[in-house]
Amino acid sequence: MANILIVDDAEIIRISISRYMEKLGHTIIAIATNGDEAISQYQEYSPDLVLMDISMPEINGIKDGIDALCEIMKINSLAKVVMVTSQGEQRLVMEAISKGAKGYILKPVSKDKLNNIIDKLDLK
Amino acid sequence: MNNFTNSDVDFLLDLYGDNVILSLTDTKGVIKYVSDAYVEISEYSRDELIGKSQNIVRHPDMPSSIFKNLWKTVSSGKTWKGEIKNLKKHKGFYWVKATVTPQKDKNGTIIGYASVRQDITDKKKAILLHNQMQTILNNIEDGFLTFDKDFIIQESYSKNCLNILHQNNIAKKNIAEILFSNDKEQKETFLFGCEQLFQTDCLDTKEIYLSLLPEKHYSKQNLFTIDYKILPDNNLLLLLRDITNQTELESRIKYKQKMQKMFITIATHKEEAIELIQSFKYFLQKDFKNIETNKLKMSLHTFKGLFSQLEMVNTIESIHEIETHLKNNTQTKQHRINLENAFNKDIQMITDIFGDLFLSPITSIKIEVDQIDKITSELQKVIEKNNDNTYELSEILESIKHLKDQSLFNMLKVHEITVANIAKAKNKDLYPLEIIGSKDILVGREFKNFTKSLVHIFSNSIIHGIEESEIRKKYNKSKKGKIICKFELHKNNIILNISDNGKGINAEKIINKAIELKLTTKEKVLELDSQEILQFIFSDDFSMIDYIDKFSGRGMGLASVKYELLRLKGSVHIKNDRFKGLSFQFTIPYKKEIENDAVVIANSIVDKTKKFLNKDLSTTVNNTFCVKNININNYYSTIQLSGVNNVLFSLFMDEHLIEKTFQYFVQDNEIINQNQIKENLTAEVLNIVLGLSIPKFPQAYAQLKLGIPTILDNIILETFMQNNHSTLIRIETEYGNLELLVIVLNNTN
Repeated sequence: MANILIVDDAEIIRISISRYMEKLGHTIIAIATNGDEAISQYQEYSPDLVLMDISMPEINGIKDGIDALCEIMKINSLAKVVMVTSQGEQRLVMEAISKGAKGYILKPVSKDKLNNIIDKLDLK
Repeated sequence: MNNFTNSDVDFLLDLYGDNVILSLTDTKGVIKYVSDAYVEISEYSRDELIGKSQNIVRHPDMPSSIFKNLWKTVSSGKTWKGEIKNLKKHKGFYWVKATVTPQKDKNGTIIGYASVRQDITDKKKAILLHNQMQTILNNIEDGFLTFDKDFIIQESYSKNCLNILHQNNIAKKNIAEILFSNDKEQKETFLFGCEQLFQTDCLDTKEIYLSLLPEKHYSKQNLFTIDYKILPDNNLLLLLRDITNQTELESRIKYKQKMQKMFITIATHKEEAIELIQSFKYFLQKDFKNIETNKLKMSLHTFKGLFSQLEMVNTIESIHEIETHLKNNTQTKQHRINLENAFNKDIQMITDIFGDLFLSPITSIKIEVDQIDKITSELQKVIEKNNDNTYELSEILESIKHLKDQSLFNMLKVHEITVANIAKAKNKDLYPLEIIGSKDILVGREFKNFTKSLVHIFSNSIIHGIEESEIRKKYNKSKKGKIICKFELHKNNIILNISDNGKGINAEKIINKAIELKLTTKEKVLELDSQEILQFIFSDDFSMIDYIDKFSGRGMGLASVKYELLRLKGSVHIKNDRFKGLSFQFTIPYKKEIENDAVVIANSIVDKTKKFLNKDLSTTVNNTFCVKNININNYYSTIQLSGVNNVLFSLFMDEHLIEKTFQYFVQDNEIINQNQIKENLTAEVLNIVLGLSIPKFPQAYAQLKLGIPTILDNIILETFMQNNHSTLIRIETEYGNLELLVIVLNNTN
């Protein structure tokens, strides 16, 4: 069972990921709607896994997904961050992986995809 | 050993080393001496070999001509060199590179032969394997190649790579340059992904990068899939597989089937087909270039639904393409031309099959709608001039007007086939659409757009309402789904009811979506009643599903139903029976002056104003209705808009609401001259709501000139109201009331 931080600007995605994860027996320990929140939530809760939307709007200097990933990796170089992405964002995902993300999930998010990632990262 | 001296053997062994495979024979080829290495490799013992013919190790694979040549060479005193496959005692074989030298006595007479062999079995095997591999590679259709961390293509690649990549030689060239020369973005992704992959040592991470590399390669006419594999030497293997024929064949078969369907439907629905084709022609020529994007999206979406009824394949595909481009803002002139071509292609096919006259019926006389309008306006003038006998003339006028009318039943009947088609495409078990109502109810052409737009209600019902048979069974529902479309006249209204026996709507989903689209907020939603929540499904861009296909999912569908309904001054009530079914009850005024421009324009502004009140002022809207009189005590502002429509807008706000607005805009209670600012605020609000609604005005494409907000005398406004098309709408909120006046000024004014 893992403690999870969900980062996404779209409420509908946050809700669906939360529901699936709870069904899979995990705990949503915190939620963030942008990169800045993600960093502070990470510091406060040290979750086992972060599910991070890769393309959140970068407004007024608020950090986007990749920036937030870098900050989290600075806080804990062993952090497990998985990017949530859409088709066509391959280049961005590669960048995230090169900066320490442990994997990615292609939208639409499904229970199977989430379970797969949990398995791969050995979080059972 | 008589003929050899020990010193000869010693010399040879000295020369070639202990491990050399050496044999000495006499002139007849009888073995006189073998080295230890010879014994070992041949698997015979020394005793078994000495005194036997050299042929004992001869392999049946070796052609006799080689040995003839050998004997001929050495017996003439020369040295022979060649590669020979030899047989081991226990059936195995070994390859040697042999040098056979004649041994001569002092007189120069040949006394025997020395044969030195080098074991080349491994090398031979490797060459053989390589040749086999190359043969395989050269004979397969797929392109195989490998490249290293500098993106350099290695020497061994399958021959077909050259054809696939249109190159003469690819060895030592840069793979990225060759694969993605025309696609900068793909190339960049490919380079970055591979670089990262070569850099990391973690296998899992390598696999992640592999999965992100480009998967398709387009080469002139062909489409290839690209597969990647990491080789043990850390190079990358790339496999190109041509899937053009596969995809082409599949689509060709599908296309043919669709064609046949199109001919059948068009033959059985001739009238609808002709009418639709005509109106689409008109749309392509006129509306397409001129109407604003949102309206264009709606119209295209509706047309797509209608064409899919008639199975007009090329047109549907083309509209689908444009819709995608419109969504991404990448549409160009070319797309409209493509659509015209696709449409003409369908028409051509129809006339090819049914003949040129099929689409232009000669069994009836065609009167253009414009002509009827002309006749009616002429008649109108006559009636106005002659006060006598006007009763009869009015009767005639009425009946001419109704020449344009059609039976509502027939207008709805076209949906029978859509419903059947969508049900089939979505694998839903469904009874045929049941249409109940009198065939005598005639409606004007203006109903056409509305009845057309109903395709969205039906497709929503089938796709989201009607459950799969197994699920229906589980909930003890009848196995088949059913949709009923029923209409009747009731007190000058047409009541049209469309109901299904599906699972109804999940209100929670609507709420979430509405919040996501910022149509409401978490707090406000608590105060809405169930009908208000259900009505959200008619909002722009509201769609309950994530994917897009030809039938639904763009979120424009129900919004266009609402739009057409408002044009008919109609209203809709939704009845949601969770798990039992959903029904839409449309109430539409029958045989009345049709929607004037003022109402259409006002509807759009009212919509935006409500949004503004909800979103920005965090106000709950309680009620919206038409009123007749202006409330004089209000703060208000007027603005004139000129362009295709010459329109006057006024916005009135009462004391309480303006107070709330003041807090929103100013947020500073220290300001002394509050009253003056409050007056300006109505102008500000009017500007905001107009700014939001202008893109939605009918025919807003023409240049619009926005006047400066002013304050007009109430009496002047009321005079305007009497002489022009106008509408005054009151919006009641928890903080007070707001009134919106829209006057479409007659062009003569």
